[in-house]
Amino acid sequence: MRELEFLPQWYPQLRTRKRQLVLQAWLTLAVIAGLCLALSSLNHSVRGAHRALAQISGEASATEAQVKKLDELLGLQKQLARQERVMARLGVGVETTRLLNTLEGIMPREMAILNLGMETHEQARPVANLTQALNTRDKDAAVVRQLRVRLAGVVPTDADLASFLASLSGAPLFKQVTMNYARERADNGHVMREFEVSFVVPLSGD
Amino acid sequence: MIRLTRSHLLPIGLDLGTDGVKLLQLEVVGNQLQVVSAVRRAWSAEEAIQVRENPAAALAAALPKLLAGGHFRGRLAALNLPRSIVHMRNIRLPLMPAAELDGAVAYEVKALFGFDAAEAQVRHIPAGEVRQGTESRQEVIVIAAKQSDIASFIEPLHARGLVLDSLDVEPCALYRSVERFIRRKEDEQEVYVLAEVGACQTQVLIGKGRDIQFVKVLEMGGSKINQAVSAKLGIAPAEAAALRRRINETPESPDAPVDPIAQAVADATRQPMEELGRELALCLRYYSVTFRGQRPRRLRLLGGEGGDNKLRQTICASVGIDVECGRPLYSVDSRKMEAPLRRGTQGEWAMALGLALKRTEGHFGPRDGKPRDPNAPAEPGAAVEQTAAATGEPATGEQAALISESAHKEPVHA
Repeated sequence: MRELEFLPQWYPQLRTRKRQLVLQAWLTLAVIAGLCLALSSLNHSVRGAHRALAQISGEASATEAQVKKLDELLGLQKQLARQERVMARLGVGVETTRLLNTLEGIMPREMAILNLGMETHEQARPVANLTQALNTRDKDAAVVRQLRVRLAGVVPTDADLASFLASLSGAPLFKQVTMNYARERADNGHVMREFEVSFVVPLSGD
Repeated sequence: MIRLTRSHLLPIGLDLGTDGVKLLQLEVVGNQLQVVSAVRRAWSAEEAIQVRENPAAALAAALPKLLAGGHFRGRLAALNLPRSIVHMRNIRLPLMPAAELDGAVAYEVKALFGFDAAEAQVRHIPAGEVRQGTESRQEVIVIAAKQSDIASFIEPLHARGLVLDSLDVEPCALYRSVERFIRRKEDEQEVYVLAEVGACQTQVLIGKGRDIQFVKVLEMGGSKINQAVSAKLGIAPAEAAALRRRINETPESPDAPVDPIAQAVADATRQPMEELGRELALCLRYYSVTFRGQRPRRLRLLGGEGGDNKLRQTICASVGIDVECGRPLYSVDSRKMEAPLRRGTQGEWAMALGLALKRTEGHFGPRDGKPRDPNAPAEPGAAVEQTAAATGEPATGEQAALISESAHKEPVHA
């Protein structure tokens, strides 16, 4: 059978073009969707990176503060070390008033001080061998400093003297408490005990 | 359900008529045709007027509902050009090779239709060789439609989302509903006479085998018959149509008393039906005179009025050959069609079927085809003997050759 077709030639072309247009539209949509997806993924990554950066920045600022504090502490440490070195070189300064206050606290009420002498003694620290002597970096630390105090006083009785000596020996600042002498003394008809003690206040911080 | 055979979906065949519209979609499953979906809708009075004035606009307006009303797959459709824009003429040209025929037809267009071939789509059907006086000429059916008319028909439908797969003309679509079921070589020699009796017009097609040879449009149809009944009984034409349908569906019984209404209807319809019969007889006579060869043996009535028994009997009396009510969907699995659409002979679906089959290339086995004799020897010449036995005449050498070829090529079908 002879088939007749009256569909104009432009119609199939129009359909083809329409199909192509639809296909292109879908492809464009797909590409746009893909780009959006990629962009969204990138945004997500960037946001994640930003979060990580913020976290790291926070940690860095905290670390910076800690470093600053450490620097301060190191500075303080250096200062203290310097002070320590100066102290080691010069020795601890003991104020006479504080020493007198301490002694006054220890002394019985009836005791009186007749004489008080203080002198600083420096003595080289003994070393066991040459190697130890060479290894000692701080030359100042090799010196032992002491404040030697000589105190002469009177007390009514031996008991008071004993009490004073016990208190003096018990005080943590005073070392090497030694009784130099103790003798009777009469003054205007009053009998009393005159004595002299010496003790050491270490100045090297040992 | 899982189907193991391969199926091929065909475009929707859309038959736009003056009284209604029919949509039919088929699929080819294996070697059989199955209905996917079918919708029929009658036009209202307003719509019918609009269809006559602007068929494309009317169809476009109704399309969404029509497509939604069925279970159609896709929007690919095959349509007929409306009769109003199709110009058809028969011409006789000297015998010439087929390649030269196109040019000759294009040359004749201006004289035939009054417009230039360049501004129209012109197609032709070589009808066959005829004798004119002492010389042989070839008769050609020339069909043309103006480009502008086609464009204005397509545009509203395209705008509504319908995708046109094909634009056909009614004679071709109608004849295809028969042609696609011709498989035997011997059937290719048969003359098929189809009369599609529509609401306003009757289309007469005569073809030999696969080729159309004669086309004639008669300006009479069902509405003229209905008007005659309407005038006789004093009822509206729509009521007359319903009454005729009811009488037609009532089984005839010789013992039953004569129904006076049926008798009145028969009296009223006799005159227009006989007129139609006379016209058909004239067509057959013209064909017999013009084209030599095998005579038509039967006439098939198709279309909305094709199932009318009274019409069949009247025409049978006029034309002198067998007249049968065509059943175009008989060889199609139509179980998916709704029950009301499956009533009667379904002759009105012939055009939609032909349109739906436009893109098919093969041929399908008719259920009412002549079965081969299973006891016949499967050797060349067996069919010749069968034919000779059936007709009681010895087969000619040409027939024997054709039937022998048929026996080699054509598959056996039940």
